[in-house]
Amino acid sequence: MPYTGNVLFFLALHAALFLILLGHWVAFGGMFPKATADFVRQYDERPIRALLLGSVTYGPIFVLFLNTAKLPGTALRVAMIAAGVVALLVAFAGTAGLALRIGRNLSADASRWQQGLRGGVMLGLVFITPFLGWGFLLHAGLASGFGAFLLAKPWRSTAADIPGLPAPALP
Amino acid sequence: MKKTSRREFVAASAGAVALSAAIFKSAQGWLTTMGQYAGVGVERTLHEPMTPPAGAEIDPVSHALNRITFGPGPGDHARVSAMGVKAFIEEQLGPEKIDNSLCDRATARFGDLWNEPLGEQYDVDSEALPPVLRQVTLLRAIYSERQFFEVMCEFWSDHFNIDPTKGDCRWTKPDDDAQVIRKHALGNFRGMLRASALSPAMLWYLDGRANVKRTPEEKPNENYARELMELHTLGVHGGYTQQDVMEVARCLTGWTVLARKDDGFSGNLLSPLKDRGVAVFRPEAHDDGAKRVLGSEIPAGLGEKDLDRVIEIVASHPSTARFVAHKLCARFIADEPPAAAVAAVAAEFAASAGDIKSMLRVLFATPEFSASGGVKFKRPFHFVVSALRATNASTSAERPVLSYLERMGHMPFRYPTPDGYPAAAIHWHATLLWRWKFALALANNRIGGTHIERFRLQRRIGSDAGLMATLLGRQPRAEESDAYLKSGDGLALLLASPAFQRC
Repeated sequence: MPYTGNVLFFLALHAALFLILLGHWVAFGGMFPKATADFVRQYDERPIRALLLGSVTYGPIFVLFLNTAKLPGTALRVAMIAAGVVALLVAFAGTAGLALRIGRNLSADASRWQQGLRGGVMLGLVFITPFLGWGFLLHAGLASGFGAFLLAKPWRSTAADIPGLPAPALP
Repeated sequence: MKKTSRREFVAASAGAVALSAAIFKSAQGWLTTMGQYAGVGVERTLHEPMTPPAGAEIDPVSHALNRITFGPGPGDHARVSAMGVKAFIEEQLGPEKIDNSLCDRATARFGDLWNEPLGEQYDVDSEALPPVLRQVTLLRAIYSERQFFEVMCEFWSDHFNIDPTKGDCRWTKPDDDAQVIRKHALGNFRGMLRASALSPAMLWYLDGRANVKRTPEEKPNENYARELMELHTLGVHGGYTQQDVMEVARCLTGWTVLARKDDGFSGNLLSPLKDRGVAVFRPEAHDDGAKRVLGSEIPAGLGEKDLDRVIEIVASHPSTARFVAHKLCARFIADEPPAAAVAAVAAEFAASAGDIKSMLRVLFATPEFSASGGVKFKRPFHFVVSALRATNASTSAERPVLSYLERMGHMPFRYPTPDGYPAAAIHWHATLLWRWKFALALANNRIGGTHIERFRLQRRIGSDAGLMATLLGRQPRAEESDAYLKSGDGLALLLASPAFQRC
């Protein structure tokens, strides 16, 4: 592959990763605002525990997912692919809380989706940082998101919206 | 925020680091694979056991690996020993069942060369395709697990040699390689002969496209007809006459190639881009009278079917069986092959109507083949590929490697005359110096785009003696070990040694 091709390939790869993450975070924040508020709360109250829990749950699932080809039997491989995709989506959902938390702290007065978008842009840029970002922070972030999701137990949540978030002003 | 204990913090950090490391390790395989698609880090995986040959002389396993592959890599001897030589030969005779993913990845970036319609190759710069074909051929020879198939492709490429520098061959040769050589390399000789006769590249190279008879005065072009009998089928002493050449030429009149511009032969058949370079039959340029070829009558009015009659006559001629058998035995047994082996293979050619696999099975079962270990002198291409395979080199097979082949006089697809590169050793002795230079450069990683992990290889095999045995196909003799240890550059010396030049 020519040199210019390599550069463009990596640029496209980073841009794609950034947009995919951002899209998931904003979309999840919009579709499930209460659950996202729960995740924000987990990041507020026990971020380290979320990371720890995510590392021991999401970690093995995702590593096995990456090594699906080495697993014996088609059924197991299919199951592992499904589990990996679900884990990844759950991690995306959980990190939507982290993105919103960052956005909330950056611009407390902005509307909710703007906070999610701004926080998402910042978090996305952190995750695509060469080497440190996609080598460590991305995985740690996704693991913490998975952990935050488990801690928040959104499937039985009765949480209210994020405290302190002003309702959008009526025109 | 709730207070985080120190233990929790340390555990979470360790977990995140461990997770990242595990993901990185898992992704490494993916990255390697992606790199190989881009031509980076292509290298055969070393599998245990890597037990080197233990015999003092070349054993049947080393002999088979030397002859029916382009040379064994580390671990190949142990693998073939475990499965047995016969099973290995049968495995190699069914290449479609052999996983070839590494080679596929190494050559994937050149896929357009074969996947595009032939006519669209004309869009590519005229000088671009032959070098790519050479590079791909070298990559396949080094990395393909379908080694015998690649060896046969090389054999038939010489048999049906086409110099891509002539006319449109620079665009059509890759198609010939795919549709004639590779498609029929282990198929049926008759099928390959017919495909070759209608190959646009061959029609260009041997002027078949210019073989027309549009008026009673026009004389057919005999070039292809002569080479068809002299080089492709009966052989120069195969018993044909000048009259037979003229009659075959008459039979083949009218076959031409759709041209880029009106070349005076393809008539008004100029076509859209995608059809350019396609072989077509022009009835108005065909001599449709009665002919007589090698004593067989071909009635008038058969039109394009004349070609099939000619192929049938020349392919089923006893001289063709002997000629092809002789060439195969010269390639796989000895430069001057024993008459008994040639006769056995020729008989199988006749009995199987030119089935190439059947002939090769008979050839490999002859006692002459078994007794011929270490007597063949490697041609430069074989030498270079065997050195790269023996050292488990990672190479992009680009210009720096190909330039050594050029200096050794054996650049793939660059032989100007239709007889192809010679097989006999005597033709290759003059360029030994370049073999030694190549050995020295390879052993010291001084070839651009090519890299060997010399010490890792040595460590995996276990000892100097093991490395020597892996390269030589037998245990080294005392003087070889002595020279290896005292020379200061044992690996280069071994690759340049007389023993490594033979197979």
